[in-house]
Amino acid sequence: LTNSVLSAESCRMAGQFTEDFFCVYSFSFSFVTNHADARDSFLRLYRRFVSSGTRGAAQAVVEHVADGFIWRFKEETVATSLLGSALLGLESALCEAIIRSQDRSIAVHAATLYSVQSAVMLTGSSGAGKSTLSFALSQRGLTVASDDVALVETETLSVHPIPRPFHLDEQSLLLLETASMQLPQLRIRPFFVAPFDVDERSIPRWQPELLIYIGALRAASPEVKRVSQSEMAAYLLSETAQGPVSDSETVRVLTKICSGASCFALVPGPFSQTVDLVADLILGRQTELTASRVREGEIATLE
Amino acid sequence: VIRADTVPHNGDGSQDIEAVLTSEPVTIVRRTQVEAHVLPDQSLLLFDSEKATAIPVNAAGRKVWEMCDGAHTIDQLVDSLAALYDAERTEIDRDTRGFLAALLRHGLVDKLGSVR
Repeated sequence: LTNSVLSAESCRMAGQFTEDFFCVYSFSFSFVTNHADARDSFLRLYRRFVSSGTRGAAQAVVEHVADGFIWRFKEETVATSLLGSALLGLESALCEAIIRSQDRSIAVHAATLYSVQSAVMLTGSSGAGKSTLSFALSQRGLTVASDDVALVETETLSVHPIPRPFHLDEQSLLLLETASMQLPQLRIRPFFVAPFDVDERSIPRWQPELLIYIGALRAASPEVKRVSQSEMAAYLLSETAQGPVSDSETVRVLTKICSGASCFALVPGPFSQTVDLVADLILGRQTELTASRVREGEIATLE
Repeated sequence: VIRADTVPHNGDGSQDIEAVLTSEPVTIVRRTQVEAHVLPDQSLLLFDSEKATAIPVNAAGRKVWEMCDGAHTIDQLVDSLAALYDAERTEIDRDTRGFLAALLRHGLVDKLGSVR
């Protein structure tokens, strides 16, 4: 335990550790653990990114010890009494490493969800309610790819959601329970709920056609209002991390993303009403899109 | 009519603003470091690359921005807008000067001074 990092070889030789390899948007790492629930949690979180072993991949470790858990990644070693805390701590460090490894993408602080035919991004500052709303929308038939952050490639404008465990605090759980939402039955506390735990459907590669900014203020009843694409671009810019991409290019990319989308600002109200309103907006928009595509198809056929 | 949405506040420029808010016939010119991105809904995102400040502008504001070329006085600019919009000229004049004051306050434009 005094070693900062366990080698994969020593783990295998010990006979109680497992090692799984992942490659998340070109960032390769292995996950080493001697706890079955920890392995299961990471396999579910990064299930789309399982890879064969790669030399030189970073190593992430969760070790079950007599009095709790230790997680290690790069120079960090953290001890905690709860498995959920160890998993959340390590996942947070991994997410940061994935973002920092990108040289031609920008990281946008936004949840990415998919309906049957379109992609939706929910943005807003920390605490605005992206995670709780995303989880609630998953109960209305939407697939959540990430409740927190997405990478946008500067050349192709492709959106790559980084899967993260839902950030559900006690207040979020209370809201969800009060609204009679089903939480997955998990043994791990604090909760480590991966998007795959609530929806096993695959993630499409669609550009967002609907962008929703969640405001910080609350109202007696929820409200959505259409905002201009430039306003949404400014909101997205305020929720974009600084990285290797220049500010000017970041602005160019975000304006392109907004160019193809309908943009709305949400003033949340009571939780259930807010979920109803946003679900109606997304699903109503989906109906509108479907009708539009049918019309386009008819015109194309007539021509 | 004209809006500069969610404008973060930088700088002072109070004297320029005061000048713009009067009826003095000055001309306003766009600063070169400001990038202007026109979106399909005709709104505009102004980005000051030096200050890393982004300011969304609606379609009417975009028309004002495009006429901030140093060749139009504010009065001429208001005349052009009055021909486009169904609103009282006094209202358009007030909104235009308010919008230009916001642009000046954020250092996105320069005042060239009196042409009298």
